Amino acid sequence: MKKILKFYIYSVLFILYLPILLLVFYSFTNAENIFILGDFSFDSYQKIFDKNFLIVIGNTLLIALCSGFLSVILGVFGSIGTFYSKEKTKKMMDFLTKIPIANAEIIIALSLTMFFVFLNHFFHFQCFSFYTLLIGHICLTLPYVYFLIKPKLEQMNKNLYDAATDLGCTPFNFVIKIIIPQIKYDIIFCFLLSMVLSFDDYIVTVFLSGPGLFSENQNIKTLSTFVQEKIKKGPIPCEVKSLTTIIIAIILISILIIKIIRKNKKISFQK
Amino acid sequence: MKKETKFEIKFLCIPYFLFFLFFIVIPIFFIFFYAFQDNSGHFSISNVLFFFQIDKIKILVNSLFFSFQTTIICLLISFPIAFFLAKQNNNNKYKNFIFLFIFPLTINFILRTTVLRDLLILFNVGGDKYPYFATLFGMVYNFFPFAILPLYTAVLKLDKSQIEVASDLGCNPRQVFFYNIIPQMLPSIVSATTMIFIPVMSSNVICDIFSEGKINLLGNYIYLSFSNSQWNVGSLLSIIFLFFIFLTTIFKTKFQKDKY
Repeated sequence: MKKILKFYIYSVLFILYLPILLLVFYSFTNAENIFILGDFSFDSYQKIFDKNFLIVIGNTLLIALCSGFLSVILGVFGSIGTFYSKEKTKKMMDFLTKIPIANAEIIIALSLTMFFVFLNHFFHFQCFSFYTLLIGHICLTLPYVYFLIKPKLEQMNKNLYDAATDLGCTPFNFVIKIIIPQIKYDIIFCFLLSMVLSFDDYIVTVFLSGPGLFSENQNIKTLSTFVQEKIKKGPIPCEVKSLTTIIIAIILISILIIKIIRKNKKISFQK
Repeated sequence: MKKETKFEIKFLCIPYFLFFLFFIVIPIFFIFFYAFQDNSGHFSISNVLFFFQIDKIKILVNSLFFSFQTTIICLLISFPIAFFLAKQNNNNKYKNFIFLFIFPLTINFILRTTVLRDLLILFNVGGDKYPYFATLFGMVYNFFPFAILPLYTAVLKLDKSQIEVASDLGCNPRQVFFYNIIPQMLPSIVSATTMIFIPVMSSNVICDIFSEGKINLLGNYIYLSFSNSQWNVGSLLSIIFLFFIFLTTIFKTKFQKDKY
């Protein structure tokens, strides 16, 4: 029985990883199409430095960084503020935060689009731009930040606030100097998570993107929209394969580094 | 003397609240606003009448059924995995196995899906020949990792003494499973279901990639009506979709009365 289960799990993992492994494998060949064996080459890595593709990478990174940064600031402060307010406010905020999680992505995108078009109708500013895209991405990532920070605050010592204020700490200093250092690793995790979510997003980007950033007068293209545009006509572009390989390598290396740091810490604690 | 307003910690949540009010709550009202208008901007219920035709309702029923099917398959696939991994929790080899199932989610889903599509075409079961099977496969591939995590934590939290008591009182393993383990895990099963059910209905991208336009889910239909600038019809469809989201949320909260 155990052997069957093991075999089952490994086969599911195999299917799960097969597309990724194929992407990595074919990034080292000069084959245009997947499943056609080409020669070993680094051509696809040179294509990353194509100007159009660099624009796409720059857009994606900048949006991910900005939306991660903003949603962490909004979410962490929102979570802390909600934690120290009345029970009624807490319940209302929890309810509000649950809306975008339960909601489908396409409906968030559509409602925001209609909202911005309506605003444009009355106030006459540029309808879609980098900022609307940023707002859309923050809408997606913000609830996750809130719900990840909330349990950490609940775990903290509840007398901390009274102790700190008795000793003459102002509320603002309390937040900056006492709460945030305690949850700094969670904040970093939230930042990374919101970056990944913004990387992965397609629908919101399609609906809300306007001219701006590195694309200048054209609509902002991110990695998802770029790939989707290309695969309608043909195979996955080579430069995307190599970029994926690089991203995987970065993630693996950072996991390794974190593990090594943790091991060192454990040893130093034992001393 | 004028009283100075002091800074309090609870003021920190004001920007958060305002962001949600302006960019989540108010836009949803715009959907309602547009749904009951005709193309010239007057109030009308023509969209409602347009929706209640047999072929439109057929799309709704089809996508509900499709979503239901995907959810069941995802649960069936992830159930044994969650059980095995939770049981081997103390085993060093399998301790971090659960992360292996989450790691692929960090890579862009369009890329993974596209390679999978090419694979299916290579094995002659692609979207051009068996669109239904290919779409189902793609959806399950994309969404089953979301079911593993809640089920895994549920198995870890199982009350083992209850299971022992049940088997001591003469239940056979099948009865223990169906009358004790499943009811204990029900809240997590429900939350896993809602995590899959709604996204499957709305994911027009995955559906487009696999079925090559032969299968239309509710999400595709909303997307199409908006790209054909039929905003009012699209809004009405979104409202119907919102109604289903509302139903699943109620369903979910009913099963999760005791939080944490």
